[in-house]
Amino acid sequence: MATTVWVVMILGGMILGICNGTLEEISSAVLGAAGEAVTLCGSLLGIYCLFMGLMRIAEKTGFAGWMAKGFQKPLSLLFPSLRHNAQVLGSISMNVCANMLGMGNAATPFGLKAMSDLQKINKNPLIASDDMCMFILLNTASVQLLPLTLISMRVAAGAQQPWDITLGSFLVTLVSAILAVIGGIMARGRRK
Amino acid sequence: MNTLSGIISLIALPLFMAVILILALIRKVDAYQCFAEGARGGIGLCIRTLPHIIAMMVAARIFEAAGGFALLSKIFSFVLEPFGIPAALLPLIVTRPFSGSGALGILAGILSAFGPDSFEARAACLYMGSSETLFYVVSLYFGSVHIQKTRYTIPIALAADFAGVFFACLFANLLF
Repeated sequence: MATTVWVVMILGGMILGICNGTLEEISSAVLGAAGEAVTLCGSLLGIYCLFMGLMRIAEKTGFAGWMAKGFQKPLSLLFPSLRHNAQVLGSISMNVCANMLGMGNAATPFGLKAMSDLQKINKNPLIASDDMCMFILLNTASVQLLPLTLISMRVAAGAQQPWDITLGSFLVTLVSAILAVIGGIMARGRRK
Repeated sequence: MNTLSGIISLIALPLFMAVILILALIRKVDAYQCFAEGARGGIGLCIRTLPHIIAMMVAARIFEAAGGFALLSKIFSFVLEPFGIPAALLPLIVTRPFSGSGALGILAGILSAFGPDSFEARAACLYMGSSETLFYVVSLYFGSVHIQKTRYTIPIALAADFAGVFFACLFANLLF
């Protein structure tokens, strides 16, 4: 899909450019954009390093684990059949919290662990269980506490207050996560 | 509303840094060494993203210079406008569930085409932050345990993703 969008944007742009006679602007846009992209990555490099450094501290001090403990109770409401399965709930909770902190690399192993534990108690190993679907929905909705990549892209683009999207981004991600969870609860038990 | 949102947004990062550093002191973790170790990983991440950003940013800029975004708005605004969604977000919305770095490149293109403090750029940022590379997550996690029928997961996840577009535009309007 990324390929389709990419090709359509470039070819569509060329055709439009010929029709509108804006080929000159296009040529300068191409060269300008390639340079801009590198500048952007330069400032992203700083933020990525800062972010991953901070996240390593959060990981080593057990910040994510501490958060995961707090989330275990509320999460158990979404997985009624796992109420007495603290081990699986623990993996799920760690995955969700690591995702909230933007620690994608740390989140994946816990997510894979949770999936393989869920598969052990799945009635039909070829068909996803309700708990699995709920877990994936939580994962794709991914509530994010600190949108550092977005902030850094805004820094690179010269925004006046690059951080001002933090609360808004949290609210939007919260709303869409709540909707995903409601959808998951409503669909529970259905075949398709 | 605007100032409150600004204050919360402003203190989020410093607060987080302070909390983890205090935690590191209490738990006797060498915060500096940890930081350096983790930060090294950022270099690879950035280098892996660079080709995607260049590709998508160039495409987005070509499209913009040719008047493509304006044309998109003309064609699709009658569907999207009632929901308050600018048509310029279409390339981003279509790419996002499939490719994270591709979407990041398009976002960069929108930021530079419309200016970072524009409504379009803010809405795009809010949507980007609220969504995931859905198809990647689904195939990674379900694939890891050989599940063949994912049942209602993808339709609901996609619906939540689209709802995210709507709320991103709504909040971009309300908060700024």
